[in-house]
Amino acid sequence: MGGLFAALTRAFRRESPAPEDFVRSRYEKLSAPQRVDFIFAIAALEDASSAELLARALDDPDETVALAAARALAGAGRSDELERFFATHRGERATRIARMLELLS
Amino acid sequence: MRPLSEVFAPGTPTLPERLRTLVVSPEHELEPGMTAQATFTFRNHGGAPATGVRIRFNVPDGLVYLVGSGRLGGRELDDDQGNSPLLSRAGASIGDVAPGQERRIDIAYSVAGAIENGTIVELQAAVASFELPPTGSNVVRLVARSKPQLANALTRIALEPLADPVPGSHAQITIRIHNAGESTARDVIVASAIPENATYVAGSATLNGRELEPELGTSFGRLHAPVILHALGARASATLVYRVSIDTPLAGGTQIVARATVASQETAGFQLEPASLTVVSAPDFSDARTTFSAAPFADLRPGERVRFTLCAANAGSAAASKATAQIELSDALLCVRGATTIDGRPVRERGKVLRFSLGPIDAGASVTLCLDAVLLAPAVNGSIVSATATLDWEPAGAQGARRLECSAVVRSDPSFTPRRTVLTRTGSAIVRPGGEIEATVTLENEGTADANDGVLRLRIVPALEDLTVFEGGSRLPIERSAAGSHRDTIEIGAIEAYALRRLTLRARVPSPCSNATEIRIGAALHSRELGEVRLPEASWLVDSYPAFDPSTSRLDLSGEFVLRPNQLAEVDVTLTNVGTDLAHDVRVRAYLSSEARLESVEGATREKSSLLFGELAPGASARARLGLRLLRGLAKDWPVTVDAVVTADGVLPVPLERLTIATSAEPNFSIGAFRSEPAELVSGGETVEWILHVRNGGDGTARLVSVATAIPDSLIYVPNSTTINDVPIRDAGAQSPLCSGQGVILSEVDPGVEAAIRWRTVVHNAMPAGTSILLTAHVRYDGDRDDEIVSEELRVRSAPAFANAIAGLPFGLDGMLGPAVGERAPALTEDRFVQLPPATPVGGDGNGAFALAQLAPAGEDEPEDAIEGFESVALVETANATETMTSFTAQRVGRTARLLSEARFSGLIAHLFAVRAFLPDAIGDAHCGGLAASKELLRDELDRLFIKLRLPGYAIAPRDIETPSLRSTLERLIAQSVSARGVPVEPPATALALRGAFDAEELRELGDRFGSAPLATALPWAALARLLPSRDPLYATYRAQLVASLDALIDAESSEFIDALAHREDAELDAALDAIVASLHSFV
Repeated sequence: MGGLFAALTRAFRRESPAPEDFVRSRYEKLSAPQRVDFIFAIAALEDASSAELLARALDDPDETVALAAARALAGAGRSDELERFFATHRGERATRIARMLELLS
Repeated sequence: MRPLSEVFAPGTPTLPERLRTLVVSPEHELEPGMTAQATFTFRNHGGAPATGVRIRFNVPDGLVYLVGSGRLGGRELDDDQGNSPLLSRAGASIGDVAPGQERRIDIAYSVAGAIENGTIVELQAAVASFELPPTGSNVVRLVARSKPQLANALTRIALEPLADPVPGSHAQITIRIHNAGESTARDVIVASAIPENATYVAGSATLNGRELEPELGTSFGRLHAPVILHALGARASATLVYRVSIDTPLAGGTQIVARATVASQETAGFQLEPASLTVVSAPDFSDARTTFSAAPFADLRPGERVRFTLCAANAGSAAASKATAQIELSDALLCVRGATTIDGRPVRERGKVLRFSLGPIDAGASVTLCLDAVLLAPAVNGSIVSATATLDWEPAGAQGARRLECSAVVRSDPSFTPRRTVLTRTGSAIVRPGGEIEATVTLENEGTADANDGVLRLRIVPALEDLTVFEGGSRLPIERSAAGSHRDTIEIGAIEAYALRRLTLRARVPSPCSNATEIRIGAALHSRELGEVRLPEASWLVDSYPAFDPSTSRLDLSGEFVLRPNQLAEVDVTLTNVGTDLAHDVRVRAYLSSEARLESVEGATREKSSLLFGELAPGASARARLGLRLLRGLAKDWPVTVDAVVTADGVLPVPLERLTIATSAEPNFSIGAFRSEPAELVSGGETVEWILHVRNGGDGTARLVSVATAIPDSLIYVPNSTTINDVPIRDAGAQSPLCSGQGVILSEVDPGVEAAIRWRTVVHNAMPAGTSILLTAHVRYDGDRDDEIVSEELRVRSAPAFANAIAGLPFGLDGMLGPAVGERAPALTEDRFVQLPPATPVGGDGNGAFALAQLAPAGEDEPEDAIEGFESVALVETANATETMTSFTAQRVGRTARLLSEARFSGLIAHLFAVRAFLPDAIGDAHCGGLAASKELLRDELDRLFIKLRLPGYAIAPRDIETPSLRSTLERLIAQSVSARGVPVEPPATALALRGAFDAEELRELGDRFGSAPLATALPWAALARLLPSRDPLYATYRAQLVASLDALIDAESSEFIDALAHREDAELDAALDAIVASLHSFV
């Protein structure tokens, strides 16, 4: 995973034309555990593309991945994005994520 | 009858011959020039005088009176003018002639020079008088005898050329015939043959200017001896002129001789002296038909053939017996050997000299010599290459040679092909800002002409610095372009044909320069002939990046500063971008010691613990000033450290050199209060309560404070009356601990902490009145500090007293009423001398903790065994224990209960979440800096693990359990826990406070093993488990089981520990946790 992270971040920094596309394309090919790892890896980054990726991961098909993204956003103090997510997602899935997030807070 | 004046008139007949007395001598013939003497004699045969006699002679043609010859009787009759009256119309009057008289009259005539032969000359005299009519004498008839003379000097022939006597030219033959005789020459014949090598020019014959041939009726040239003149009078001349054409060709020097024979009927033919002329004739190549030409004559390019053609046309009138041509080519021309032809036939060439024999050339003929040459390169455009042909011929004549020259205009161009005229990069294609780049401009003129006024224009994008251009070690001047145009001009002058010019360009990349900037240098060669010739571009790619290094980016303490608690220290953060590119999103993440707090930031934007500097240009520096405040006192060997890491986009994080700020925290107990109650006067036997307020008025923690005083003999100590902050302390024997050797020992007295030490004494009742009681307390700390606090003076008041019954006693007492023993002194009031925060009770040497433990109430519903276990744990911990506390709000209690319920994964892993949930919020009575960080980090790690474990089939990895940063944080926590003392203060709004205690020594031993224990082993968890609550029996039981379970794995490998976390089941331990969770649920 470290190698993957290094490759992703390297691409993220070096390939200036479209690093977001590159990261996104690579991210989508990862398994759920790898996506969770990746989310926690970029949680500390404060760049816009990482934030965008975390926000998008809230809609990940795997609920655990979405929970990881929510935890990463909460840990980074990006409560606005979480609030926006929960304001626009009213289903059971979002409720479960919110409950688990509350336990971890 | 005709009068005398009318006789002898021309055309009139002579007079009748009556007097025969005229005698003429000669008598018959006359010749031109002769003198004819006539004598006339008459007599007056009458008788009467003849009066007025007149005599007259005639003058016939051909005779001329001979002046002075007319005489009468010998007497000259001529007048003064020489006129003879004898010949006048009236005749000469001779007077009267008497009868019988005779008169003689003489007269002489000269025969004219030209008189036609056979001319009859008649002489007659006439005499008349007044009385007699004119009487004629006899007529004497004389015959003139004369002949023509053609042969004389004036009769001659002449031959004159009308122009140069060259073949083909005309010459004029003039035959002049002069009749020098006295008579006319009849039928003058001229036999004049046309001269050899000449041809009669038809119709050219004229006689005395008149055309002759019409009279002749045929061509003059065809007649041998035509009669050209029927009569040529005496003394007359005739001129016969005709022209001849000199035959051509004709050798020079040929004599054209004109001959003529003249004759007439009277004159036999005689030849005239011949006349001649010499023909001038030679071969001639001087006219325009002899040419020397070049083809092409213009736009001749180097390497091309040029054909020189010499056309030798003999325009002369003579053949050239031998002609040669020598061709001389200019140096720029090279003869193509074997290609020379003469009249289309190849010529064998010998030697290097281009001399060719053209052979004989007849007049009018021509010979063509063709010679090919190649124009050598290089050649100057517009120059003229020439060739000369020297034509020699024989016979030479006046001109024996001719030099002809022709030329061709050279068309020559310089040429710079992309193959050899290039701009090439020297060295690496990657260049750093500030680095030097070098390129070579190779200009090779492959053309055949010089390129003049060469200017090399450089296009450099972006603009570079220190642009220099060298050629052969010499620097060329550069005309720099205006800013922004990126064009520089270099005058390089002429580039000769086939010359190679090599220029070396050096320039320095500006710094800063953005990364991946492409530097392109293009060049265009401008020349007068070719205009602009573009060269290929050379390019470099700039490898540029921002950079920071610890030598230029640093943390500096503003001034010589020693940080004191609650004091603000200013730290300058200086960042210098030593890189070459603009640094984006420059941040400094500061890590402060937990004892310090970042109060203010100037010069940067603060975001949590990061400082945002934004963009920083290369070479630029940014400075920010941080205000740090030391939160609490530290020992001198605990300086505040400031670590910082510089980050920026595309830059590796750069840790700055740690800034260590020395702290100075000194306790100070110099200010205190020592008073007594009563304050001023006291009676003997009265109880005096002494109140000693000592306060750490400094800013450092006093590690060990000894408070001692001596009680004088005038006072009697009340046993067990000593309290500190209302906490009773044991006496030292019968004395107050203040009076023991070491006094009351306080440890870890934080700044601002105040201790109120009270004790009571009784004034000795035997003291005389006025005795002054003055106590001095010594506060000794930090080894060498000894502050004295002197009490106010207390005077003994004595009065006589008598034993008496004491109210309230059912009996009498032989004694005095004394102070009440055991009465507590009032608590500290707000009117103390200094407004201070509430003092924190001091744990002291552990006795306080023990006392608190004993005083802690036990739950009434606690089972006996739990209480026993609790007490046993408590008893174990009493020796060396520090209390912990985990405080829960009601909300947190519910959340924790749900979390532990959710985290009931199989294996021991669920109990790590219990550790996370119950890790204390406070350890000891002081702030534990590592606790919050540890809890935070531990929460992060376990939250992640919690989420991962929700993934189906997730296998726990070592990194899920422990990371290096977590290890170091926990190590710090354990170290701080070991050194913690005291009892945490329960915060307000606490719904549930779980307290615990641990054995510091035991924890220290575990902490000492942290350095050698691998990551993801049980050791740190075993240490953390000891910090869990233990005051409550439920928690004590669980903690004891958890510690035992983890201690069993403390030496296990990481894999074994992880396996236990994943799979080992411990029913008792789980049950203990279940009980806790249940209690939490019930609490909610």
